[in-house]
Amino acid sequence: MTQVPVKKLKLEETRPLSPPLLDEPLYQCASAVTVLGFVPQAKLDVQVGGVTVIADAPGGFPQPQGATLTLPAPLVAGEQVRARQKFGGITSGWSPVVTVRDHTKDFPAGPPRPQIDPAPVLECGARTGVANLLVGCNVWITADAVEVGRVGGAAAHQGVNVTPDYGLAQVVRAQADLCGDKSPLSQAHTTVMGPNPLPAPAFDPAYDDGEQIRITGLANGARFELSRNGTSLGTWRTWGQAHLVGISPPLVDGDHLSVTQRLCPGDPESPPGDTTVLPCSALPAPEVAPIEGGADRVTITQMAPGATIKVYLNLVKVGEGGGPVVLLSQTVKLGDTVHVLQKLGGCVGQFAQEIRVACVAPPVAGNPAGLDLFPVGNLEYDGGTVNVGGATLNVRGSVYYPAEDDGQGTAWHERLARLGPVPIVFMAHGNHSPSDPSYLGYDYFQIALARMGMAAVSVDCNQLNGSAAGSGNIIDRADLINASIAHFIALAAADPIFGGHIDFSRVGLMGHSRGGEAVVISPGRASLPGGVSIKSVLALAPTDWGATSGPPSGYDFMTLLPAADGDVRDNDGAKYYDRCLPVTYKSQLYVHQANHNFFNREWLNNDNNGSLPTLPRWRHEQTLLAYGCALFRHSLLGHGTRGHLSGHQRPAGVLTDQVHLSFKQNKAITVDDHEDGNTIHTNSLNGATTQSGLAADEHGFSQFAANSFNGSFFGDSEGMVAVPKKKNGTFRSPLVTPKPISLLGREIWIRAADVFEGSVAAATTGFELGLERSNGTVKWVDSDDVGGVPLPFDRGGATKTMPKTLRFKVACFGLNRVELRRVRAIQLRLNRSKARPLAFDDLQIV
Amino acid sequence: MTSADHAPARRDDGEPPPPFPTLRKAEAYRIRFRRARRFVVAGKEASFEEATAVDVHTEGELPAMGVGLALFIGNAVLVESERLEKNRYRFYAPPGLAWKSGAALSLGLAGSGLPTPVSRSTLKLAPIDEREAPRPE
Repeated sequence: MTQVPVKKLKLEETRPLSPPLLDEPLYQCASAVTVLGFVPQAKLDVQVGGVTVIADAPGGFPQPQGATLTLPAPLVAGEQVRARQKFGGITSGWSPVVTVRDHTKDFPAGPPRPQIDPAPVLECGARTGVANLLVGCNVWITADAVEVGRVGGAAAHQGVNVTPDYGLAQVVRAQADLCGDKSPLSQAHTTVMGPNPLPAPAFDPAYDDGEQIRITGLANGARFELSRNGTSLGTWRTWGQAHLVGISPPLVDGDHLSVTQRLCPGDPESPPGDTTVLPCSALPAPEVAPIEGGADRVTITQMAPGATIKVYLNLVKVGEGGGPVVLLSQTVKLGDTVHVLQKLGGCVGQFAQEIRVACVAPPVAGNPAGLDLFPVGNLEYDGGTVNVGGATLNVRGSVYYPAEDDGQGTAWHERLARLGPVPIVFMAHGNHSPSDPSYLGYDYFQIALARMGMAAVSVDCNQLNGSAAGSGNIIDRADLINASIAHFIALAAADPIFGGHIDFSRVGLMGHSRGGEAVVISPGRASLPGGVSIKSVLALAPTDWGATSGPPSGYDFMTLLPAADGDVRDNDGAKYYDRCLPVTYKSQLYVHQANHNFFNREWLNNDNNGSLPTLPRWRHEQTLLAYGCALFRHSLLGHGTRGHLSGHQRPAGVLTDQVHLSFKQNKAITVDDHEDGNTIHTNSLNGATTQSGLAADEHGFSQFAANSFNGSFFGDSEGMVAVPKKKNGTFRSPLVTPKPISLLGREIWIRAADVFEGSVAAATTGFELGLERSNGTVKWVDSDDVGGVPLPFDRGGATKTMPKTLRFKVACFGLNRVELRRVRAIQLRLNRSKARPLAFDDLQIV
Repeated sequence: MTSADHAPARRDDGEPPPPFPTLRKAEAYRIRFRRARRFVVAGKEASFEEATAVDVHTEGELPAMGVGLALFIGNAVLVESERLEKNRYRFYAPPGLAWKSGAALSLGLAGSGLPTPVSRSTLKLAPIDEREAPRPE
């Protein structure tokens, strides 16, 4: 992605205005819809069931939340809704249709739980933001159980003015309803004093001809006064953090803007925040998310407030809208060049963002940890004692569960109970000082699982900490986990809170460090009670004390390997991943800059002692939450979150460029996994391979293989290392199948890694993957177009060669349907001018 | 919709690690367990009433973490252990694990990858007195 001067581009303007988008999903009884992505000041039309129900509604500004428009009648399930925009005499096409759903199908236990956002709630606050709402619902806020504000027909994140302003130490909660179906109460927030005086707010850069400004640093619920060139423009209430204000007439280069804020009437105003409007020449190019071939839209990740975005495909305009998503008049394909620029009124940015369309650039699709439906109850449990390995150990720990309200020992959520028992996840910490209550360190993960409708237990294994080591210690941990499972089976039989509410046919396990090794063997232990079905296991930085034998099997598996692990430095989970024979799939996350300890809130020290670049603690938790919830939601609740594990989607808010995924599913055609013992000259389909201009051979990708390529491999599989000898050396793997396979709609997956040979190079390398047609010609796609081969994470002499899965969409190769039925081989080509050895494994058609 | 993470800020210990423990003294003997102790031998779980124990005194300790200490006696590696008290550990060797008399001792790490010696010593392990009955645990 590069910024290019617009004057160097011969851009062709076309009339079309992009259709806007409707915020979805839409549900029955919604009394409003939210329209997104229109150009500032456009007029909006909305149709329901083919009938225009809103005409020429002023849209205002699309940032930050679109325009929420009140409907003349509530929506009915099955109705089809669409919107369009009008501006400058041009009418756009209609948005994609959204079909109205029944919320009780998606949320049978009631609408999601509102979230007061941002928190905390401050004394004298006059406005509160409420998030996690269904569009068009009604939302209200109470302070000490008295309603103080309400909005009908809400946006997904709605501001609610409150009257009177909050007092001190009031308990504030939000609630919503749709079709008279009430959500749970939000978490209770007790109002606290805000800073006095408040700090000065600030401005995002503002530009000539702009009609909207963004103010930041605002206190939750404050009132702020905005002035332009010394003249007050008015006072607004804000829910806090940031606020966008429309300005008329448009800004002029050199205008001086000033803002102050205040909470309580007697408080002094904050110091002023100031800015001077910048000239048009300062307007930068917008920032744009990577674009994947086949996309019909672009997503803007940073733009000036109130800007109009224009998108050009191969220099011809194909989209114009208000962002952040702009629909295009045609889909893009690999290799297309897209230019995106922004304008404010008559001020057109002098630079455009130039993006080359990739084959694979997974879109951001929510965050699997964000499902918030239920209040969370919690308890410490005590299941007495159990004999483990000759020692008497306590069966105890903590449990979080979906409840009627937050708190210790609160009743199980009644509506959820009527739907049937729910899955349960058991977590087990590893070895640490026995004086630290390690089992408390995953509460953030337990809470996330509980609020989406699962019970989450953290087993106290402290009696096994600090003293013993060895495989016996791991076995003991596994048996202690199983003893907690047995305890909860007993509770589920008759307990006042848990009785009848846990489904032991849907159990997940998560273990960290020695706990990570324990959960790999726990499902196979005789101590596992009967009737328990372990669906998925997450081994977080697991050790290898030799307690496992044979491949992990019988469950779907994930391992999270911190590349900066200063404790379990060999990332032994890579061996479990390679050996694993899953029921459906297995997943490996190799997380650059993650250490061993920061996933547990009770483990305070950085285990690599600062010797390696390390992400802050909250990033560790965020990563475990996103991918761990994706695993358990998919395997235990049947939610569609598997795409985050396979790399088809990226979770919002996570540093996904640091997370290197490997993923393998059973439903695939394996072209070569090098495990057949039939030498490099024959692939897994029994086809004869050939190579030219490189030296490729099979090697053990492990520390102990006799035929390892070098000492930088830490898994346990056989793979291929291709060493370049001449430019464009190729390796050919024929597709020999009883019947021709059509590759239409499929993907080619391959694990690939830059082989570490003593030092980490300055720049990345890569390769091309080619599909050979029946006439012998080959169409190539570069690895850079599917995300690229990352540099190894630099640990000096201990740097690892760690493969990750690259997905090549067959559509990127440009073959027609007939050709796709006659692909006769897959080729790899080391095409870099300074090619280096690359490791490959698990070449599959998916 | 994702809510913001509210993890409290924690101190990030950027100090250098403590020095790896070194061996001061070691004694091997046969031990009889109160209850059969389990080992994993050749990938299989096995319980034994008796084993060989090696008590070591160290200068310094390894913090409690995922990996742990391993005792190298010549080519033999003992990874099953317990911390008895400060600077004192007991390693266990299941029946069948043997070493040459007078083999050199070193301490290393186990629990991640192959056990690796870290601090070597000049200590040699005296042979076990076979006339002595196994000591009770």
